[in-house]
Amino acid sequence: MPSMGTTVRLGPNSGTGDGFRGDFPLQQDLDLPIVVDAEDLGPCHPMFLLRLRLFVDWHLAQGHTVSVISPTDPAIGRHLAEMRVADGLPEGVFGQLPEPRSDTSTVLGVSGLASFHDVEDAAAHATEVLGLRVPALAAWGDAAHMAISELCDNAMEHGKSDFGAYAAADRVIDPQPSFRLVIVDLGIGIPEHIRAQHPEWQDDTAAISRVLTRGVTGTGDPYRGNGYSEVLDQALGAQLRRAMSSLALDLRSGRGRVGVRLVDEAVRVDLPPPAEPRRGTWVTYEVISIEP
Amino acid sequence: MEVRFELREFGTSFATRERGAEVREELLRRAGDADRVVVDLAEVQHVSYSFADELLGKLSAADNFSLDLEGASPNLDRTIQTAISRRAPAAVSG
Repeated sequence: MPSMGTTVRLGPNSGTGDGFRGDFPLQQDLDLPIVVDAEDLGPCHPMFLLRLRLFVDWHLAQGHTVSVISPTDPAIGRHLAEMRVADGLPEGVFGQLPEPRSDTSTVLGVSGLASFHDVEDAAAHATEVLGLRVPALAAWGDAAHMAISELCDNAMEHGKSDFGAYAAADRVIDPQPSFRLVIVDLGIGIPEHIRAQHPEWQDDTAAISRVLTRGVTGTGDPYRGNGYSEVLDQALGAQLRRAMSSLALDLRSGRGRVGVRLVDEAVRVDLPPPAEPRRGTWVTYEVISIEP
Repeated sequence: MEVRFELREFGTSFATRERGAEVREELLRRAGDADRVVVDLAEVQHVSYSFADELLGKLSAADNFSLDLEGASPNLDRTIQTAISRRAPAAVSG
């Protein structure tokens, strides 16, 4: 009996919320061909766009036939084009998208990171664009550069995935100016990396929370493991310069999830209950200006 | 003998540990038998902590030569000094 294929239907709210909505299964046994029906798709968080692109790339790499039906709403289609979701894909995989505008909300289009040059280019570009397009958050330039650099460096080095890493960033104007950076890799994930040196940390959330502490690393080098601390130190410095702004950092890996907020010039860590297992590491770094 | 090393020759924004290792190898090649190396950071806008640690943290912890830094912006200097102080406290002037 011929295969009926697999259709992933995306609705108006699939791309919003915390950016993790949308069912994009990465598994070998999906019926082929795979169709992502995005006709009714609404506004999209950059994390959703990374998941969409990762889904397409992963299945193409497995030799699967996959296609995406473009949104019918021209504004949504244009946003996908401006975020470069379909750039570099073989012809016919992604439906037609409108021409991008010059004044866009894109800070960093969906970018595959395969080398350290890619990371440097992404960090320099996003930092420059952030200063130009979100003046209210210009004081966060150094912090944003540190975040992109360290988080992408981690994703590339510790992720240990043939698939490399992906990053994207956008700005939001309403209701408050904000900057949203997302980074994903499909590697071994933070908990397993840390357990190479600390096998006693079996709880994934606990293992993730430890990487916020200086000197905690899975590499065995006592001088490493400072990346997340530096990211948070730079963010605290930016908040001191721009008091009416704040950071929300969300880390998900394995079954673990850790949320970090800057409150009253201090770091507050939230440890939500265990989540569904997730391959790789998924990071959201969001800066919000409290005043226009 | 003193050797000057202008980092802007390699760019103005540095982001990864791998890049730091690459630049360190080039610096060591140029330094040869020098007993003093000056790293000029003028015009450099950004360095990540991992880059700074891999390039300057590791150099400061080695005994090859004395290392001096010049021209770093305040934010750059803070990141670099943090990296250096973790590997070799009081090893570098700048």
